[in-house]
Parts: sequence; C-alpha cells; structure tokens
Amino acid sequence: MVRTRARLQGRDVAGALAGAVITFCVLACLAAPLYSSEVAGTSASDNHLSEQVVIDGVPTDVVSLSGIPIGPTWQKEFLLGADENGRDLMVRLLYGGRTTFVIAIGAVILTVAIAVPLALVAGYFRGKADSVISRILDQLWSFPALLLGVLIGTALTARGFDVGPFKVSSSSALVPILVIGIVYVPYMARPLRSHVLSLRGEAFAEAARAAGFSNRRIMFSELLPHLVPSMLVLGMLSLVNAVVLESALSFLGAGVDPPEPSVGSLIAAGLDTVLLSPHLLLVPCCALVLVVLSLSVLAERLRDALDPRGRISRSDAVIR
Amino acid sequence: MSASVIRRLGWALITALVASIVAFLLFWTIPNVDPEFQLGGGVRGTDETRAEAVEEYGLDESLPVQYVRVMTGIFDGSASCFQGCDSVRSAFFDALPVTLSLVAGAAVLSIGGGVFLALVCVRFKGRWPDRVVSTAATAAYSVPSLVLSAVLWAFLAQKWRIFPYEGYVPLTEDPAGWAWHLLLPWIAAALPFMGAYTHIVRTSLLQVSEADWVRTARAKGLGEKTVLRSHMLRNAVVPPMNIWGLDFSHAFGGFALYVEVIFGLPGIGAFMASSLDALDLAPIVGLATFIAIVVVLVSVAIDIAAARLDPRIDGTR
Repeated sequence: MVRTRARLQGRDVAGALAGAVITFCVLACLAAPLYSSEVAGTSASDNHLSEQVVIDGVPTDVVSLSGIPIGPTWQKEFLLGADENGRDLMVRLLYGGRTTFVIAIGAVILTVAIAVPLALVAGYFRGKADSVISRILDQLWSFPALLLGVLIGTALTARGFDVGPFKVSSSSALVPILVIGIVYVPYMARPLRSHVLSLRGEAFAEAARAAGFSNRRIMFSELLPHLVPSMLVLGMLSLVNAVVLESALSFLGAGVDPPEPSVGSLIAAGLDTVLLSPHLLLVPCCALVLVVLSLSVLAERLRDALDPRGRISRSDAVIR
Repeated sequence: MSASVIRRLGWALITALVASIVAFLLFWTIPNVDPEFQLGGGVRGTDETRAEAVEEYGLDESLPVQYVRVMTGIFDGSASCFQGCDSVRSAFFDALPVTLSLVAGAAVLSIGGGVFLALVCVRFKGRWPDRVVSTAATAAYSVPSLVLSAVLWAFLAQKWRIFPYEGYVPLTEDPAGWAWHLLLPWIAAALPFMGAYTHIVRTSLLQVSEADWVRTARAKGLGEKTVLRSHMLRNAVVPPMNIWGLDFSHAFGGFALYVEVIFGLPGIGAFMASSLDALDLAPIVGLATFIAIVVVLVSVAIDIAAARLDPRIDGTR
C-alpha cells in the first residue's frame, strides 16, 4: 500500500496529462446535451442544409451550393464544422463519444459480472467445474474477438434478443454492450482463474477452510477482496479494448444503430466524404486516438501501481 | 506427428465445429415472418415465392437436418451466395491468398520491427534512444489500426493518389505490384502491433539479461553485441511467440475485416464484411467455419514452431 501510494504520488507528467484528458473527455461527453442546447443551439440530428452562419461578420453557407460542408469555424456554432447534412460535428462528436463511453463502460461491467464468478468457481473448486469452464473459455478465446463481435452484433441487430426474461430490442444500445461484454470474458476470466488457483493454496484460505467457512463465504468474502487489484487492472485494460472494438464494430455496421452517432460510425461516414471535407474524418480519428492513448497510459500506470509483481503480463494487455 | 500435436489438432477441429454451429444458430434462426417481405429489385414476395424458398432451402426441416445440409453444401462447394458468388468454397479459396499476404506481411513487419526496436532499447537502456523508442512505441500501439487505415487510405491513396486506390495483384504475376498494393495495408495493420511488441520483447530481454548464462557470456569477454544477438535474443523471443501466434491467427477474423474493406482488398475479411452487410447467410456461416479452421491451424503451427525453438515448451500448452 505504501509502495502504491509512493508510485501514484511520484511526479508523472504523462500520467497526469492522460488523467486530465480522460476527465475532460468524460465530462464533456456527459455535458453533450448542455453543450448542444446552450452553446451550439442545435441537436445531433438537426439539419442546417440551407442555413447560413456568420464568420468574421461574413454570412457563409453551412453547406455550400456544391454540397461541401463548412470546415471548423472555431466559434460557438459549428466549432468543428458541419457534415454534409449540415449537422454540427462537435455536437455529434460529443454525443458519439458519450455513446462510446457508455457502451465501453457497460461492457466492462458485464465482463466483470460474468468473468469473476466463473474464475472463482473454476479456480476454487478445480476438478470438473474447472475443466468445463476452462474449455468453454478456451473455445471463446481461440476465436477472434472482432469476428465474434460482428457475427453476434449483426445477428442481434437483425433479430433482437429474446431469451426467457431477457429482452433486448434490435436497435437498443444494449446490443453492442452485450456483444463486447461477452467477447472479452475469456480475456478477463483466464488470468483471474489462475490468480484464484494460487490464492486458494495460501495460508489464509486454508485457515478459512479449517474454520469450517462455507465455500461461498470463502470465495466471496475471503478470496474476492484479493482479486480486486487484478480486477481493476484488467478492467481498465478491457476498457481500452472495448473502446477500440466498439469503434471497429460500428465502423463495420454491427454496432450502434445508424442515426445515433458513435465514434466508429463517424469515422465510417468521414471516410466517404474525405475528398471534399477532410475534417469529417480527422476529427473523430483524432478524438479516438486521444482517448485510447490516454486510457492506455492510465491502464499502464494502474498496472504499475497495483500489480508491481507483474502478475498480469503484458500479453494480457495487448489491444486486440 | 506426436500425440500432443494430434490432440491439439483434435481440439482445433472441435473449435471449428463449435464456430460453425454458433454461426448457424445465430443466423438461421433470424425470424423472417414479414408478410410484405421484399425480393430483389423491389418485387413483393408472395406466399408462392415463400413456399418456393422453403422448398429450395429446406426451411421446414428441423434445425440439425438443416445444419447438416448447409454444411455439406459449403464443404462440397455447391452452396452459393444470394448474390455475387457461385460457390462459397471457391470464393473463399480465391480470397484466401489476399488475406494471407496481408497477414503474413503485417506479421513480418511488426515482429521484425518490434524485435529490432527492442534491441535498440536494451542496447541503450536508460539513455535517450531507449526513452524515445519506448514513448514512440506506446504512442504507436495506442493508434488503432482502424484509424491508421482510414487516414492512410484517405490521404495517400484517395486524395493525393500516391498509392493504389484499391485492388490486389497476385504475387506470382507481379511481385512489385503485389508489394505496392499491400504496402499501406501492411503499415496500417503492423504499426500498433509493432509498438506493443517493442515493449513485450524489451521486457523479455531485460528479464533474460539477469540470467546466469548472460553473466557467463559477458565474463568470457564476449562483446555486448554478440551477447545481445546470439545469447539473449533467442531466449527472449520464446515467451512472446504465444502472443504472436494469437495475434496473427486472430488477424484473419480481426484487422483483416476493416483493413480489407478500407483498402479495397478482395480478401476473406472484405468478403465476410459484405456478406454480413447483405445478410447473405451461406457465406456468413461458411466463412465463419473456414476462418475458424485457418485461425486454429495457424495457432497450432506457431505452437509447434515455439516448441522447436525451445525444447522446454510442451506443444500441448
């Protein structure tokens, strides 16, 4: 703990910068409705095709007669320019970023909720339970995450999800959360399982067993607290992965339902119009790189602080 | 072939089987009860056309029967796409060389570059080349290859027309054209991995540098370069081989999808993406199965290679 604090308090410019960037991005995305109503005065889906905006006292078409949208104006309206429908790109970026963050965070929570019990059961009971769970995780793990994501995503957007009490409509934001959350389960459960395996042999776990504690109590009150640092580090790493995967899924049309912007769908749209208005591609690309860079710096710092013995290897940390 | 390799291949087969069943269940159970369903060209479907489709695809049979029917069609080459291809199997084998070229080139570039940069870091450990390369590597692996592909293609290929707009030239026809068409996709796919591998190999080299045999080699009076290249490197690349195996087997269902779509390469990734777009069921299920087979075969091959390089590793994992 002392070491953790020392590491966190050390002067770390890159880490502090990354933290500031992420805090700013999250707050900005949360404030998207406020920005759109108070500053930009438009919504993410409002078209301004035939309107004009005043730049340096000169009225300029939002979308020129030949169909070229306005570039960054650096003022309240159309701060980062407009798209070919005359929609404010900054507003769309904020809403898109919000969607991406919500999906990524929701997916990580789902991953933790599935992976931790699996890891506890497999690592604690070993034997049959372990071999069944491990085989299933291995099967999932040996299949490419993106392909699995687009397969499940496309199928779910075509049909929705309706098994027993769980009902998800096909256009809901829950679809990408479900897809990304499921895909990353083995990446979290496998390292946690081996952690549980080594924990159950330690003295405190033996003492708990000798004291006659129930299995459930040992798993959740004795072992689980020791997993928390690993969970945090792995969760942060899967957050980075989830942001990247969400953008790839939306780019391929298997993520967020079209009219709603997300970072991936903004990139896909920008790619179509790059000849006339490069800002439509560059803005979401830069935003994504900035967020991923900051998140992975933070994930690295978190790993250095919480996992000084290197239990979680770099191989678990590679973005896939 | 040892028993362990056969066992790995057995599990590989099961993975492919599971993949095909999952893909089949996901897509064959999409309800299609829209009474006003459309045929191609805006033609309304009628009960008659529906009956015809049920007859042709055997949709009234039980799911296991349909599964067997679909899979035999895919493997004997008789299953066709709704539009665009006559045989899913031959379309897959036409597209495979494209993706193989893409993935192999990206693997060579990222592993070669990563190992080289890691050697630079360790050679100058703690000094400015180490710091510069490490920082650049972190930056590189934080730029998703989706972004890199989009920006490189948009500016270098579309806007300034320096690189080809789209398409693929077979290696056997024109090696220079092959490399020219694939150069940007290779860079876009490889750069993030190169950054990650620089860190991984650097860490691994630093761990190895504390080993006894390295101290012995230095004590023998060997030059730092010789120790680094012939004593440390070989041992340091064994642990990362698992990661390379995973990354480049997964690449067939990973970056191949969007890199091929963006650069207009007619590989299996682009084929899969367009089939998913059109909800073209037979190629979706066929490609999921074939890609699963490629993925597991590549990962088995790399496991065997790792075992060759380091006899302590048992190829069964």
